[in-house]
Amino acid sequence: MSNTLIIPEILRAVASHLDPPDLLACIQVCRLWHKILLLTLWHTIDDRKYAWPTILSLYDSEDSLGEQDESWLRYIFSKHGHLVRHLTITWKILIDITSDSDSSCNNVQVLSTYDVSDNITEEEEREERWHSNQTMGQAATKYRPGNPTAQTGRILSPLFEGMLTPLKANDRTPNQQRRDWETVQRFWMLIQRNSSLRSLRLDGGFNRLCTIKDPQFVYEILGSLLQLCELENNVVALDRQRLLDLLPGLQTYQTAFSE
Amino acid sequence: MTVILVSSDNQDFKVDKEVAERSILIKNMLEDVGESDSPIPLPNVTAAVLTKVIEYCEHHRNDPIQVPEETDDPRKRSNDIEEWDMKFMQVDQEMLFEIILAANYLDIKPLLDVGCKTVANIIKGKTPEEIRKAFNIVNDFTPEEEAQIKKENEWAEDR
Repeated sequence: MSNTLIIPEILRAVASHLDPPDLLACIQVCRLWHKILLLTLWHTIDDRKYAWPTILSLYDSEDSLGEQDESWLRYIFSKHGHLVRHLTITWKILIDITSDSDSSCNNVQVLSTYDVSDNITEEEEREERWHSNQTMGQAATKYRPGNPTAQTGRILSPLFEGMLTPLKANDRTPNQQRRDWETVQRFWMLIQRNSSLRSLRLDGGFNRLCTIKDPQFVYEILGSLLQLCELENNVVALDRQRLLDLLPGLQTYQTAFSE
Repeated sequence: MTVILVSSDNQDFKVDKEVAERSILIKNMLEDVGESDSPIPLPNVTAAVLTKVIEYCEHHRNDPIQVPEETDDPRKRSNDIEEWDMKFMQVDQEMLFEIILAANYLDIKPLLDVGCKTVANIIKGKTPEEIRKAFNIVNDFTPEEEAQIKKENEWAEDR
């Protein structure tokens, strides 16, 4: 091999012009290229792109290939998660995986979330259909007006005690509501473990999973992000001045809430 | 104002100062040396490669100097190479790599960029085996290792 392609900075400069599919080919070329370029490949993870939607929709499904089940996904994030710097999440299960104690996703600098309430796995879909078949039968016989009781799940940390309100929702199964309740907490725990975050986008879609009754824990968690300079917040109304006092390095703050 | 650059094989190249200063390394050297006329030795660059580098710098002598980008994102946006540069880069692989090395050493970022994009274009769309063939690289993975890597990084497939 030419001397040139052995030099890490040059190989990386070449790789900076390549997309993940080509980077995937590159890391299979030889040990040296794998060593140098693995971090280029894992630098940016966007679950809307490449094979992520397929992989995530099949998560935990009987249809998923053996390698693409839950333990495989947790495994790859425990092995490579620490390389991720830019993370874009639109799937709830990715929140669950990246926030897991085994995951090594602690070095994220840019975290963006978009509506996570939409993407459901095939397994969840099946569960929903089964559930709605059941309840349809019930509704016909019992004529029950109004919403069913909202479900809560476990509280995963004292930080969240009393801070969240479950959301009543006809269109989600009780199981799903319990999971969603936990997903929201896991999301905030993911933020908490990534103390070098510079840019954060909080999507309003989380409010379709459960709502924040008391944003005290939000201030606490955001306040620990000493390198945060960009924040887009569409999840809960926050006091701008209080934020600026907590985060003197904050340069941009955008919010959907009127102040 | 002209400067004299000396290649590793002792050939002298007389170049306009403005053109030579497209190389940040040379620019800094000239600032340090001040008014002196002494030739600048470039022990890492042969005459053949230096000829090409000077040709590039002369053609681009009026380009605005690139400011280094603030972003650390290794994914860059534009992947197009302008026509003159494309023709300029139609050299054998050995010369291509020599130009990249020289651009890196001399700190001529636009030339390094074009060189790297050219290599990237060779890689695009190829399988690992095709990439190895293109650059004469030996595969030091076992088939199991290669399969494992592919599996672990399957998310990157274009589906």
